Amino acid sequence: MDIYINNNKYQALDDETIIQVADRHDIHIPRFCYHKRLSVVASCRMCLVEVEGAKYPQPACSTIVRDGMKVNTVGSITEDAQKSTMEFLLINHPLDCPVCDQAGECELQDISLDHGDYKSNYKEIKRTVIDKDIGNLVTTEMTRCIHCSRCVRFGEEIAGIKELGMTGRGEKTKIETFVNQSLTSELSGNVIDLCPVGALNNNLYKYSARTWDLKQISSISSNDCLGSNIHYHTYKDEIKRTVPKENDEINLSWLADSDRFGHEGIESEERILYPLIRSENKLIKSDLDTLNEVVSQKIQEYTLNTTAVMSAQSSCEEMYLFQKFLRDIGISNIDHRSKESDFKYQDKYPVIPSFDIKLSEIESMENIILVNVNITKEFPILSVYLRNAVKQNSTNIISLSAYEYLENFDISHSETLSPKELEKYFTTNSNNILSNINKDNKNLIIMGPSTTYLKNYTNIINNISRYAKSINSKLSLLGDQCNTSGAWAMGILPHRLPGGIEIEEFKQTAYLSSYPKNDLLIVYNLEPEYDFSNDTEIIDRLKNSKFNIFFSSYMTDSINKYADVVYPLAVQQESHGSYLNTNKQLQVFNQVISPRGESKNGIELLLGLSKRLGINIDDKQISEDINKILSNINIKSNYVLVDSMEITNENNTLEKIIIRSSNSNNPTLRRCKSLLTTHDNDSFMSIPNSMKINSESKITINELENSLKIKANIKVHDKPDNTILVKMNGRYEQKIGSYNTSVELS
Amino acid sequence: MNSIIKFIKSLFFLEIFKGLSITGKKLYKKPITIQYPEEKTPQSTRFRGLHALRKYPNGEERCIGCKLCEAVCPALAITIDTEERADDNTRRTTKYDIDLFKCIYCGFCEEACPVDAIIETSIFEYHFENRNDGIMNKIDLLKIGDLYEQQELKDRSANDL
Repeated sequence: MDIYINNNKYQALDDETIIQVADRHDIHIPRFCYHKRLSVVASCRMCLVEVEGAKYPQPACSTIVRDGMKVNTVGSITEDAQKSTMEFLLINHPLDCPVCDQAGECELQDISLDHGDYKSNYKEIKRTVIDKDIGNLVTTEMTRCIHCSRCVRFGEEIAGIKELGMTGRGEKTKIETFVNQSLTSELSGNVIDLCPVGALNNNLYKYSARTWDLKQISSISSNDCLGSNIHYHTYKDEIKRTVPKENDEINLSWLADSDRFGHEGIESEERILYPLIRSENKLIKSDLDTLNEVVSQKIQEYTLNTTAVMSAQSSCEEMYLFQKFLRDIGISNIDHRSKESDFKYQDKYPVIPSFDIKLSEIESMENIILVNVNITKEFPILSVYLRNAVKQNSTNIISLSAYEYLENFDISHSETLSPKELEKYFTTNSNNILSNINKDNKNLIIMGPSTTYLKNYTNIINNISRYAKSINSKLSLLGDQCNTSGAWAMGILPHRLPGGIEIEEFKQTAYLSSYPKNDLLIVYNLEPEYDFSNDTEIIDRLKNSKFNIFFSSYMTDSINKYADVVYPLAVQQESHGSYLNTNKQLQVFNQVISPRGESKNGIELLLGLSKRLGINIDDKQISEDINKILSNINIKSNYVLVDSMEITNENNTLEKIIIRSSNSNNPTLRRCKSLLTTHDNDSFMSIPNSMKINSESKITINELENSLKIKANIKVHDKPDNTILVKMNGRYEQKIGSYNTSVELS
Repeated sequence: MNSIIKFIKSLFFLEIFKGLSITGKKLYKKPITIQYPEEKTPQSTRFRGLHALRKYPNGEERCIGCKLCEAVCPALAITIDTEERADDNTRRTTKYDIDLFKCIYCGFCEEACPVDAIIETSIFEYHFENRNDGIMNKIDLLKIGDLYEQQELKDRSANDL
């Protein structure tokens, strides 16, 4: 149908509102409460426009268009309405723009300048509201609130947890949390962007800069495999805050808290700022030339006994370079799967493990099975899509995991299973909820990254693949790190070259189990304490090996004790490169700030070292090579069908399972204090009910020769049996992060 | 004809006498030159001289670190860093530098300030011995503010009339 806005003819769809048509054609209508991704309440009255035939001005956000409608957004009736609304809104708004962090990007400021009057008739006392402490991430200045209720609707509609609410009526209306410090959902930071005034603001950014000073640089999130698009705002070469960059295929208008507040760790005191070399049992400051000299000598000496482990945090460029120069000098023990402990599946694994369907297609699914994943905590952006699916399409969601996870969408059936039970659950002869799923429906299986940590991962993924095939479902694999898909594609594996080309003669991953005595270890951007499936074993190995080369951004105890040389690695925000996200999209990011101290980005460090070793790689060629490799990859499905399965032995010893903590997943995040204190305040150990523990019971966790005493909240669970669940968050407690250790109760 | 007049004028030094007559007249009048360091010309109450940061009568600094002066400064002479003050969670400056070699004394900073913190005092006679001294920091500015507060109040009341 056609409508007329300011006497110009525009095309409109049925059920559209005036503001939607106007927005599409860049016609400015002021608004506060309207947001394109939230429901319409028409409470602020700022978008009133003159509609021909209507007695009074109509709110453009809630008036549905009809054929031949004539709208006037500039006439005197509209302007009068805007002026009066503005005057009402400003009655109680304080004049504290000079100290308000929103000043300069404030919607109230802008609209007041464009549509407000220069004087007010209000002479009485303004309202003041006492602030409530709502958490570490968002600061409040509730006197500034204009009650648009965007934050309240966001909680109800998008985040799924109603954390902020409106209490009181009329002048006593307040936006508040009902309990102190309770803004803790993984998407809570988005209320900062939604707030049109300075009532809700970013705590990390508080009073540190002004909006007009900030420089905006777009980048890609390094905290989860979805690869959210973000803008960093910098001032004087420091990241001041992070805001979402709209991308309709990934993060929509939202951002997870780990992305928004995840830059705090960059300025940590533990940053390694200089090249370090061990001399008389101490790491001392050195320079890159000396390091390259020593390292190249050692690498040539121990070529056959070298093991290299790289983080899947690294960019595709770093990965490509890393494996290329190592393979060129004859080192083939390369891996990125430091958190896994079962590798028998690896020949059959897809070249790029991926989510396999577009995120927007999730909405149309009829059945979704979640395996061992807490979407709300681990992939907050994905939870928006799943929640939408449940709301729009009443999708049936089944959750099968080791722990009863809380999700922000409705789950129709959830089951708590131990790894062995999980393996059996998907076999055809078992009679359970899965046998009711119709293969003619649109089904989807989403497998979480913590499944890959399990000791019987091969069996689990094999059974799931068989089951997925039988119900015509796609298998979506979520990556543990932001570039897990890239690591598989770039050949950071012992058995595959870039592009998934199989190596005839390969060994199993060598950083675990048997290893030669005289050996050399290269650890790239991984922290031995936190990033390995078996931290005691890797530390043991660091102790015994002849030479340890670290590329790291942050200092940890084990690096300080066992590293022989440490290259100062720049963090992601300080380097450039690209990430392959879980949808197989290669996303390029640029340098946001300059590297701290003498640290250098990985590409430079690796090029320098490979040049010293006599391998000349043209750095301009790298991204071309990567594109070539990726364009040649052809994947049909994610099914992993293993020919011969080893039977998992049934024993009754207690098994320990780690619950993945997404907010301490990478070195930078581990140093973000405000994030850790907000989201990870529930570390616990959960012990089977049948163990009959009481408050005096002592728990000893044995890892090799060491045993650890644990201070943690103890919970009990009924299911799964013979399993101890550990969620240890933050940094220091996470040391017990090994995934297979024996547990004793006394 | 012209050349004849010119000849006569130069023969009798007419132009020199004309010029010297002004000298002669001024010789017996009161001189307008003042003896600068000892004597001074009157100053406008709106004179824009050396900068200062003011305080409230209770001793609290006025500046709230809004950075409007920094933004408005056409010579980019002002540099400010801010943070949240731990005592009372207010927005305060940690650094407030004015580069006097860059400053063009336009007075925009004074005009932009919402709390009348930065002012340009009547001080116009100052010098530096090192180049670095041309950059005034927050401590210097507050000190000048303390010294010239009474003068400023006087000037302000005069301006209000």
